[in-house]
Amino acid sequence: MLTKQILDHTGHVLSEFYVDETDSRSLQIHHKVTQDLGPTLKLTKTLRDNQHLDPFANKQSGWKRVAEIPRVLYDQLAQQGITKDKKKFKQWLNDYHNKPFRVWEGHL
Amino acid sequence: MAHQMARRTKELKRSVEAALLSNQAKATGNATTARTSAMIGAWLDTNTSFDATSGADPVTVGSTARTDSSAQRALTASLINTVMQSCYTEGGEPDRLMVGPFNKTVVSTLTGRSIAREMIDSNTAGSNVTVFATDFGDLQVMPNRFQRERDAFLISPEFAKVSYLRNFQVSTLGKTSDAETKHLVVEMGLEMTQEAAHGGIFDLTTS
Repeated sequence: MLTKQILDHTGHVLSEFYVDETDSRSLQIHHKVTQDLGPTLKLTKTLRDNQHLDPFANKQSGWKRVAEIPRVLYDQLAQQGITKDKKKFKQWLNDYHNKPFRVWEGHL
Repeated sequence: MAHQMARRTKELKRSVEAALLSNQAKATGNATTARTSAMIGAWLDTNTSFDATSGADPVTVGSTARTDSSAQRALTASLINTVMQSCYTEGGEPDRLMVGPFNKTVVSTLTGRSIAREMIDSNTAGSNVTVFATDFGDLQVMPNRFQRERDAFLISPEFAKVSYLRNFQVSTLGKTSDAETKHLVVEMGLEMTQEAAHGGIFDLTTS
């Protein structure tokens, strides 16, 4: 019998527990975390498309928003050791395939 | 039983994270009181920014808790820059900024983007890690609901780790009638290898 339990639902992130009990001696437990990426992608696109309206998008402010990374994806990168390694993390951010998460598109 | 054990383990892991990010002081413990380990609030002393009304760094670093101020102030880019610069001067390079959910929304609009202020709702801000390029290196800003909202931590991950005195372990307790009971225990502490590599911004507004 498969039972599902919602552990947590905060923001766009949903955390669920799946318990699959085929018989009294066999039990499988899965923890599944999902995130709706739509709002993040919409946000990054709007910020990219409207950079010319941003009075602070220059070096003088000292701060430049580079990317918005969904939490589930960040956790995956952390498990792969990418977020701990500054060089690898920059490579990941500079990768063309990850462009949807970038806001400022310059090379890091 | 396995289902319950999995749930309780997750619960305990959350408690561990909340403890690590707390302002807990060290206590030796005795026959009636459990021993406690100093957590991040009690460690940070060199690179800190706090409200001067009544706030103060720990009297003894790594031993006593810090004193919260009766007044609070808003998190600003200037506060973060000052503490980052202080860490940099001390030789540290913090690349993570951990803030509570409310202050994550504050950070998300720090760069003054009118567009961002309109677009970023708290749900989106709380579900993402924002990466900023700053004068002192790249900064990954992440929300953490297990820490106090009034604190923000600039962390150099290589200079702090969790040390286990007793790692997660299960023991079976005596059986009562047909009921089985198990005991899940973990004993850990924050191993701060260099507190000056990190920074803390305290007494922040929480809503």
